[in-house]
Amino acid sequence: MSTDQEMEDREILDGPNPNLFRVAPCVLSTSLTIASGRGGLADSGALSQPFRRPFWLDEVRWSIRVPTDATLTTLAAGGLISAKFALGRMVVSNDFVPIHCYAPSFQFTRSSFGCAEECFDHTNTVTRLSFSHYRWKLPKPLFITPGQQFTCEYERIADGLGDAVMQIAYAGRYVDQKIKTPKAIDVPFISAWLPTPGSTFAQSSEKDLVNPLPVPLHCQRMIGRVLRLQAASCTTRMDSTVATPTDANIVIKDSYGHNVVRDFLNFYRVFDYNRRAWTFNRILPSKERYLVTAQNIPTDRRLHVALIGSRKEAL
Amino acid sequence: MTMPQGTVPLELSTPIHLTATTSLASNTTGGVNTVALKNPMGGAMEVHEIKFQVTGPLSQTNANVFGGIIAAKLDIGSHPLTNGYVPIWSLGRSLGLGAENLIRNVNNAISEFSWRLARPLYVPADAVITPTFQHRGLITNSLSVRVSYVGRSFNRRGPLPQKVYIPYASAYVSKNFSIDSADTDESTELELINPFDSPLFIQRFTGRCQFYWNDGSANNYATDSQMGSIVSGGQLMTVRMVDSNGRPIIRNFTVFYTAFPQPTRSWELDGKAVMDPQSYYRVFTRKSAPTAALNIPATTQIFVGCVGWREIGTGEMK
Repeated sequence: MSTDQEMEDREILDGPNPNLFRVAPCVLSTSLTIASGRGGLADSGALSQPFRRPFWLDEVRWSIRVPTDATLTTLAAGGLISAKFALGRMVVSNDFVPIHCYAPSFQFTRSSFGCAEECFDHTNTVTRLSFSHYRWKLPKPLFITPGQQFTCEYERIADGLGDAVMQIAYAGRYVDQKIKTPKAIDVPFISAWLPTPGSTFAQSSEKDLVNPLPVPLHCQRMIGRVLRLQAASCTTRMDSTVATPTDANIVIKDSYGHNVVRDFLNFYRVFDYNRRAWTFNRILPSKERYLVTAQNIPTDRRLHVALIGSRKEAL
Repeated sequence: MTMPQGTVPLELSTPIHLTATTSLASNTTGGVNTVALKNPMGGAMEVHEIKFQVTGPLSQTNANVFGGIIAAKLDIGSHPLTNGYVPIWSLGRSLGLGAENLIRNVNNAISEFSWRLARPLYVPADAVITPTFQHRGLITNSLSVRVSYVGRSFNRRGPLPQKVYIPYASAYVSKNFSIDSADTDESTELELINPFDSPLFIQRFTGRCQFYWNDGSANNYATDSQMGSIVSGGQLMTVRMVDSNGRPIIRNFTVFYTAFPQPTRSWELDGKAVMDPQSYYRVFTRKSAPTAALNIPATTQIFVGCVGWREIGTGEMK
C-alpha cells in the first residue's frame, strides 16, 4: 500500500508541473588562483552536485580579482583569462576561449562608476584591485547526470600583472531521482576566432567559427570583443572601443561565400556596442563555418569573435 | 502567442497605468491614496509591473540610492504579496544601475526600481493592491515615494480566469557590518519564507549590498555598495544558503556578487525551481576585513530577496 508521502508525490508527478517535482535551486562554487602566463584547473569536485542527483546547469559565473598598479585605471580580466569546458566525452569549447566571449555584456561602462560588468576599480589606495564579473547563461539548460562533471580548464596570457583570484560558480537546479531522464540533451558549443595580435589584417580559417560536430548547431549569437593592450607596460587592458570609424572593419561570409556582413563595417556596428553581441537564430549545418575578414586593426588591439550555440546529444 | 492560463483574451483589454505618491519622514510608515490605484473603469484588471520611484536629497557628490532605505508591504484583499516590509530594490532585477542613481536639479537624487511580475496578477473589480511604505531610517531626510501599477484593464466583465497567480516576495536584511571588521550574520526562519500550503515558484533571488556613510553630519548617505569607487562591500561579503531541510542552495561560501551576479543584482530562475510549502531558506553571511583598514565612518549591509508566485483558484480571491 502506498504511503501518504508516495501518494502526495504521485499527485505532483501526475499534475501540470511534473518537471518541477522537488526542484531546488543550487549554486556550486570554487576559487582558482592563476598567475600571469599560467593555467589552472578548477576543482570539479566542488562544482559537482553533492547528492548524486541530476542537475540542470543554467549559468556559469566568474568573478575575477586582479591586483593593479597606480598606472592602471581600468582592467577587464575577461580578455586575459580563457576557459575550455567539456562534459565527459562531449566537447563544449573548441579551444580556450576568453571568458568575455561567452556572454553578452551587461551594463558595460569603462568608468570607475562601479556598476560595470567588466571593470570595477576598487580604489583602496593601499592595495588597488580590479574586479570583473561575467555571467554566461547557457543557450539551453544543460542536464548533468549523477556523477558526471562539467570540467573546465583555464589559461591566462602573460600580461605581467599579479595573481588573479577567480571565483567560479555554477548556478542551476537539482532535481529529484523520480524525474525522468531525458533521452537527448542540449549541449552548448563555443567556437572562437582569436587572430594573432600585431597584424593590421586578419582572416579566420576553417578551424575558427566552425561547427566541427556531426550534427547541426543551433546558433544563438556571436560575441565580438576588442582587447586593448597598451605598449609593453600594458597600462590599460580592457574591452575597448576602436578609435575611429575605419578601425577594425570586418566582413563576414558563410561557407558558401554568401554575405552575412556584405561590406567592410566597423567592428562595433556589427556587434552592438552596448552588448558586444549579435544575437540571431540560425542552424549551422555540420562542418560549415563563418569566415571573418578584418582590416585596419590597430596594432595594440586584439579582436575576439566567438560563435555560441547548442546541439542535441543522446545520453 | 500562447496566453498563460488564467488570463483574458487581448482584444478585451486596454493598457492602463495607475500611480500614487506619498512622503515619508525618517523612521515612519505610511500608505498612499489607494483610490488612485484602483481601476477607474470599475472593471477587473491585470497588473504586469509594479514600479517605484524615490526622490530625496543628494549628499555631497554621492547620490543617495534609496532602494535599501524604503521598504514596501503589498496586499491584495486577504492575500499578502510580501512577507512584511521588503526593501524595494529586493523585488526586481536591476534594469539599469544608472537609472537607480539619477541626479535631478543638482540637489536631489532619484532612484527607480521595478518589479516585473512573472505572471500577470488578476485584480478583481473594485479590488486594489494596497501598498504601505516604511522609511527604514539611516538617513534623517524625508523621502518622496511614487508607486505605479502597469497592466491592462478589461473592457467588460469577461469570464473569470480559472487560476490566479499571486506574486510573493520575502527578504533578509543583514545587520550593519563595520567596514574594517570581520564579522558574521545569519537569517532567521521568518525571513526568506514560504508560509503557504502550496509551493512557491521562484522567479528570482535578488542580492544587494548597501554602503552607508555615517559621519554624524547631515551628509549621511546610503548607496549601492559599488557606486563611485567606494569600497566594494559586495566583494568582501561571502554567503551560503540552505533550505529548511538542510539542502544546500548555495553550497560553499561564495562571493556575494558571484552568488547574485553583479550586473543584474539577481539570480534569475524564471519559475524553474520551487520552494516547498511551509519552508524557509537560511542565509549565512561572512564579512571579511579589507587587507588594509580604511578608517572611514561607514558600514555595509546585504539584502537577499526571494521573489516568486503561487497559484490559487479564483474562488479564493477575496
